[in-house]
Amino acid sequence: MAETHDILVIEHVSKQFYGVQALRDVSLRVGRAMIFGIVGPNGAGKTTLFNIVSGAYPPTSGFVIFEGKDITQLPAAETARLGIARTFQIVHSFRNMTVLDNVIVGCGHRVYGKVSRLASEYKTYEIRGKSMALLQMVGLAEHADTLAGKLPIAQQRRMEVARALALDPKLLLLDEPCAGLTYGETESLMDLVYKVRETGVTVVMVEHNMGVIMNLCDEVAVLDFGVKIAQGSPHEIAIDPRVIEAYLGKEA
Amino acid sequence: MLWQQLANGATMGMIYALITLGLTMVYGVLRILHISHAGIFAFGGYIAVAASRVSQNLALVVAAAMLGCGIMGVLMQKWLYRPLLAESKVVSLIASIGMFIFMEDLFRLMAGPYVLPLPVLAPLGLDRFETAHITGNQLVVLIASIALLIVAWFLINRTRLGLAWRATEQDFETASAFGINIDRAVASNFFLGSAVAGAAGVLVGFYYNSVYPTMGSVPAYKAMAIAVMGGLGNVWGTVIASLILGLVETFLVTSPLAFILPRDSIAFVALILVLLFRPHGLFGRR
Repeated sequence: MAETHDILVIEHVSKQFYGVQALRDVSLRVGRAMIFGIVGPNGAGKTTLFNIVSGAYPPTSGFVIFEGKDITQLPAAETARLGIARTFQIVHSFRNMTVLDNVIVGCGHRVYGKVSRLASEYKTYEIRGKSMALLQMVGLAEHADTLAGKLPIAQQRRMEVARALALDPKLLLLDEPCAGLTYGETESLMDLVYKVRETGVTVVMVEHNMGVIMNLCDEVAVLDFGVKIAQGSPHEIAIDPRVIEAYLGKEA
Repeated sequence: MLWQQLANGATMGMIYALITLGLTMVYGVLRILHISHAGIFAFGGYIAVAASRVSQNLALVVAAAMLGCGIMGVLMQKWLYRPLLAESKVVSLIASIGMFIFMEDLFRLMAGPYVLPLPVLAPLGLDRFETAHITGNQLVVLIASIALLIVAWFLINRTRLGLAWRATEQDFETASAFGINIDRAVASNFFLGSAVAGAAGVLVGFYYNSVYPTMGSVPAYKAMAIAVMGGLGNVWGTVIASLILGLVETFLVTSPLAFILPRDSIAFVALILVLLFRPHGLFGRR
């Protein structure tokens, strides 16, 4: 590792929802341009962690540092402008907008804060070109003018990736990108994540599919009941007794 | 005669469209039935009366009313609707009705229960223009309202701001994950909707040369009926439903049917029919 500090540092983060401890003292470091996996059984707090990093809500205690800057209390709109993009576990497309417009929403992050440019035309030649290139990359160019809600789930997930990339993110959070996809669809989404990383974007993904994690991730953290129980390379994780116990239960 | 009726009907229709536009925008973003929108409409008329003492130029008076009503709308969103957003929608509906009644009485207390004249003149002497088919005042109202609707349509459908509104409308969480400040998107949406309602208030005051405390009460429920007919949140649906209503009303009052169907009842007959047969609106999707 050279001089570059970690892109994302999570320090002692806890989150309580009305007495339910969703996360307990979780600390993580994510290095630049890696694909970092977060796994764990249902209810382990993976999505909560994503929501805290992206600013959907702040943690009860602890810190989130992005590129050396404390973003713990920043709302989602601000973390997006800093370069954190995300997709959602349950597809959140703007259903009544075209696929192209969905992606263009992502392109606007530098403008939304500037009143003087809000009244400008949104579908400029430049933005249209950039968005079409992203759609090309995720293989949806021919569906640019379709209403997003009409696409099958697999394609809406791809669209979400394109929309997130439209932010020019430094950090991309993928929340179960392969949920509900067939084997072939999963393969092509994995190719896409590889391509994204090639462009220098750091990817953090929550995933249930161990095959995806083993193939794709450089490093993996395992959460169970809101606690980080292990971290390491996928192969270390796969043989870690605590992880096996969390997934399969204690041996009798 | 036919042409005169068409001009009368279209003028009313365009005014209805202006009033309903704000209502449908607010519904689109917050899913709130914003009854006090009609109070803002009347507020526009009163701002115009006050402004007409300074300038008699209709364009300036409209601009003043739009600014005042826009600010009023933003304040209402911040202090009335935002605190209630987490509650059931019925709560904000009741608050909105309460606010509307409060505004009517405030106008009565401050300006008196009288019908006030609105002595303003259109720029370029347009209001003195007259043919057998259309009066100068109608021409002014038509031109002004079409211009406002085109501007609003352009903002909603072609600009960054409009894209942010449409994204916010569909999903707060996702919109904010893409850098859109939800509070500002909602506030600016209220500003535009209220400003357009204010302009409608001035145009109605100018057209009938009268401004009075309850001028919003008929538009309050009529706009609701139009919004449902046009499909809530649908700008073109709103305009077309407004025009249809304006024209049907105008033609009906001079027909023998006027005897059994008073003018202001038509909107509700239409509303009932729409709810029975096309509950998503005449042009709505889904």
